Order: sequence, then structure tokens, then C-alpha cells
Amino acid sequence: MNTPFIKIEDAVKIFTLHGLAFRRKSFFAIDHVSMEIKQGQTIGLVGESGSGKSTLGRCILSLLRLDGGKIIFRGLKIHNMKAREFRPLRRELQMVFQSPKTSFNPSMTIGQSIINAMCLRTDLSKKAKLEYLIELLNQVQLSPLFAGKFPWEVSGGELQRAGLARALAVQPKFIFLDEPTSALDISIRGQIVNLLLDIQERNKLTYIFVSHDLQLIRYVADYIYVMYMGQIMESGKREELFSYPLHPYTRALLRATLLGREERRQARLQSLKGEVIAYDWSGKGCKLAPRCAEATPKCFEETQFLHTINGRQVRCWRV
Amino acid sequence: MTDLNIQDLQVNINTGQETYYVLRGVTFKVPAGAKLGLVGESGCGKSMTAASIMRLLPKNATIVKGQILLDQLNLINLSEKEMRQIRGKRITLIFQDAASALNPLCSAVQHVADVYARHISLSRKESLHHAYELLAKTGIPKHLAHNYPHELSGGMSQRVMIAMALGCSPEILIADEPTTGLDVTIQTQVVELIERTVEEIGSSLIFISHDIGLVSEICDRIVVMYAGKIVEAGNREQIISGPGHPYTTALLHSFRAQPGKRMPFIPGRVPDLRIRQEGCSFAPRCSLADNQCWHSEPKLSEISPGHEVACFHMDK
Repeated sequence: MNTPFIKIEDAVKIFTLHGLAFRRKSFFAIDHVSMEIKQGQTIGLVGESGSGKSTLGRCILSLLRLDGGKIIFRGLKIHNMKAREFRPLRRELQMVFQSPKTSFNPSMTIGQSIINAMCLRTDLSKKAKLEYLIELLNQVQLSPLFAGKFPWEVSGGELQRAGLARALAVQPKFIFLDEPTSALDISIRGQIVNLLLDIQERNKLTYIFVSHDLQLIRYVADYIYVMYMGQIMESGKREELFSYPLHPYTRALLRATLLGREERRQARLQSLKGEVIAYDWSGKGCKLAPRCAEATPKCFEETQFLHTINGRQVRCWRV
Repeated sequence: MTDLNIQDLQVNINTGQETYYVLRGVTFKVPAGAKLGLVGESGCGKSMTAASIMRLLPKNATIVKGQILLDQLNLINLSEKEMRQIRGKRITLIFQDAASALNPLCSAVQHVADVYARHISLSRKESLHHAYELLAKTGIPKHLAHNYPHELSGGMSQRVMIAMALGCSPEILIADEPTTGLDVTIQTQVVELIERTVEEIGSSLIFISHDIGLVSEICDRIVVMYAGKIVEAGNREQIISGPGHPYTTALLHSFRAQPGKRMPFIPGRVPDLRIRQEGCSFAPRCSLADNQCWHSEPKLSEISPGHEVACFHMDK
């Protein structure tokens, strides 16, 4: 059991912005990211939009091809597989998308969509697929009637549960959850999260849980990676990271989710300035420096590397 | 200084086949300079209330009953021409999705300059000059002012919306979920900008959000809505530390998740607005619901000064 379930080594993904030839810009969407995921773990992936969280997920699921580095799934190199070679692995690696409304085909009923996802399961007969569909809907606490409904006929929370049923249809080992609750009302957020955790326990699943909601990540994840502009800024076990956040970026994110008037007022004074502009980085110094409240001239000069302290990784020279 | 007074507002939407009862008698008051928060799940009528005040309701919606009083002026009786003098000048609205609320064919500065040209009849040159100033104040430097909405990030578009809303120093500013879809870090910046500018020009604020934590940070008075009705209204402290209605309690609970325990949530779903249900509309999802709740409708009643709750279980 010592080999990690999924291992990401030095992954790099470069995006090029379209424009006139001399204005074309490339930037690192994923900038030398390494991760280890153990079986049964939930990894939390936190960061603002544009920090490369979803891109990383797409690379793991081979929806995008890496420009460098490796992704190893149970000893198998999957980063340079051809689509045909990868296809059997789709049964094991699945994804739940952020917006349930746009990730379902509007001209198919929910049942058709889920059965469509079962096309990888050649072992099942048509009748068995139907039976399994009912069982899946049951698992995500939807009545079998939903199979005949169209995506626009049901609420966001119900559709997100159907999205989960679709991911479960091929009995995966790993699900990449890309902000599964951000499109939902907070009052029903708990429904989805409890369901995800129950299903994980029952089916022994491994999750990467993406969210910018730190309270939620604190609730679900065992180990957390904080990303900014494609780089990992900090990583650590849940309790360590939340009790002693080391990187200024983690601290800024944590402050933004505090409850209470006075706490928030205080926190604002030390919050981040400006916003992420992914392609606007001079190439030297810390990527966060222009926004960091604690930045010194050294931050703009020296490129920061991840260093390990007591089993945690931080990309800041001050720690 | 102007008071806004909404009385028994009822709005229906008719789709041709069915009628949706979206607002079912909403009454609240915004005294001059107050900061009021409207909270509730999606579909509870928060945005419809804002749209009614602005008279920007969709074509198939009708105001069945009620009054919207801006001081002595009833906005419901105004003609479209008269309303145009008020909209954008005395009452302004910051829309939920800034990127789609802006005109894709106009640059940021044009949007703001238009407000001046329309309402204060400034010359083109003067209004542009003012627009640059105002944009700089809301955090958009001059070199970004000529960008078109698609070139602006979500946070930046929201800043343009805020600049537009503040152009004429309105008496009432309505912010309809101004921070949904923005990153938490950007959210703090936008909220701070709204608060600061509202204080500067001394207007009243109606802040609409489903995030009760955020509302409790900004607003002095909080109104909780459910299924087109107000279920609870009170000061910040009353609502946050001593909520009266089971719905408010449940909403607050779903924010306070404890690791290791089940995550709290409100069972069931938002009621169908086509049905005029007998009794309390929260009854199907309420743990306290009894026979009385299912058959008669609770009315808003004061439980302590300024704190109103619509629930039969308040005195128990």
C-alpha cells in the first residue's frame, strides 16, 4: 500500500492566449505541481478562480494533455496515453462538474444521460442497466421518477445529485469534484456534501474536492493544497493548515471566510489587493508579491520555491 | 433624505398557462440612511422585490396589490416616462451578474458617462471627465476605463456597475447579490467599496444576498424572506443571536458546519410558487410544524421591539 494511488510529478500545462502574433502570451496554467494522493483520501484543492484547480483536474482525467511532468495512476503512466488506451481507465476516473445545468445534455432525460455514461460497462445487458439506473438514483436519494425528467425540469440540487449518479454509473475509484456545491443554495449544500461523504465511505472512493469555500474544505478534506496562479503555495493536513496557516495567501483566504462583523472588519485591513491576472507575471519573484500585504522588496526579486517544514510544504521565504 | 416604504406588495407572473405567485404581501420600510439586508434562498422573491421597486419587472409580471412609497410618491402609479427620471437617479440598482448587465458594445467609461449625460444633462466632455474620476474612485484606473465588458474580470465589471449606480448620488441603492460568482478575496473588496461609497453619499442601502453571514456584516436590519413572504425581520443582533423563525435558525445553522459532524442543511426544496398553499409555507420543511401550521397562516407579529416573526411557535 506504499505506492500512492495517484502521483503527480512536476506537472506543467502551458496555455497560450490568442491574439496577434506579437501580442501572443503564454503562461503556466499549472506550474510544476507535484502531489501524492492516497487511496480513500479526500484532497482539498483551494484557490481563487484562475489558479489552475480545474485545469489540473482536466489533466488527471486526460481531457487536457500535460506539457511536462508525469501523472501516475496506480503505477500506470497516464499523462501520455492515447485516447483509446485511456478509455478503459475512464471507468475508474470520473468527474462531477461545477454547474449541473450546463453539464447535462438538455435534449436527453436524466435517465438517458446516466445510461449513456454506462456505455463503458459492456458487461451489463440493457435490462441490467435500467435496474442499475434505479439503484443509482436510489443511492443519491432521488426517486426513480427522475429518470424520465429533463434537466430543466428539476432544481439545481437535484440535478447535481443526478450528476453524481452519472459519475458513479461506471463504479469509479476516483472522482474529481469540481466545485460541486458552488452553484447551489447554502441551505441545501449540506445535503450534497453529506451524500458525497456517505458514498465515499460506502464505495471506498478517493476524492479531489475543489472549492474556494474554505469552511467547506475544512469540513471534507484530509489533506489540503492551496494553489495560486498554477503553483502550490502551501499544503498540509487539515487541522495543521487551519490552525497555523503559514503562507500569507492561505491566511488571506481564511480571513475572507470569517463570520462576524468585527472579525471581518479587522481582516479587511490585511486582505489581498487587486485580483489574479494569470498571464501578467514578470517571471521573477513571488507570484503573489504584487497583491500580498506583507510583501517586501525581496519578494519581488527572489523566485520562491516550495520547501518542506515538518511535513508541510510552503512557498514563502519568511517561514 | 428619503424613506422607502413598501406595503403589502403582491406580484404575479403569468406564463400564459400558469400563474406564479412570486410576492405574496411584502411589507417593509427603509428609513433614510438605513442599511437593510434581504435574505433568503433562490426563488424566495428577493430579486423580484428589487425589480418591483425599480419597476423593472418582466413583461408578464403584474403588481396585483400594494404600494411602493418613495416619501409620498407611489412608484406604482408612475408612467414609464416619470419612472425614468427616478430610476438611475434617485434609486439605483446593482445587478447580480455584472458581466451580462453591461452593454457589450460600450466601454466601461461610456457606461458611466451615459448616466451623467442622461440625468444631469452634462456635455459629452464633462460627463467623460466625471466618469473617469468616478471610475478611478471605484478602483478602475484610466488605462482600463476604455476596456469593453468582455475584457474586464468579474470584479472589475462589478466596479463599473457600482460606479454607474453612484453617478447621481442616489437616495437609495439596491445591491442585488453583488458578490455571487466572485472569489472570496474579491468579494471583500467589492463589499468594502459598496459600504464606503454608501457612507460617503449618505444613501440608504438594500443589500440582497443569500449569504446571511455577509448580510450580517453589512446591514443593521435584516429581513428574511421565504416563498414570497417575510418570515422574520429584526436588527442584526436579534436575528443573528436570537432568531425567532425556524427558517432563520436553519439558515444560520447551515453556515456553521462543524468538522466531524453531519453537515446541517434544510431538508426538502423551495416550495412551488404556482400553488397557493394553505397554512405556513415553510411547514413542509419545518421540524416544528403541527396541525395549526398546516391549516392557518401565521402573521408577522412583534416579539420584542423591532423584532417581528411570522410563526405560531414563538410563544411556546
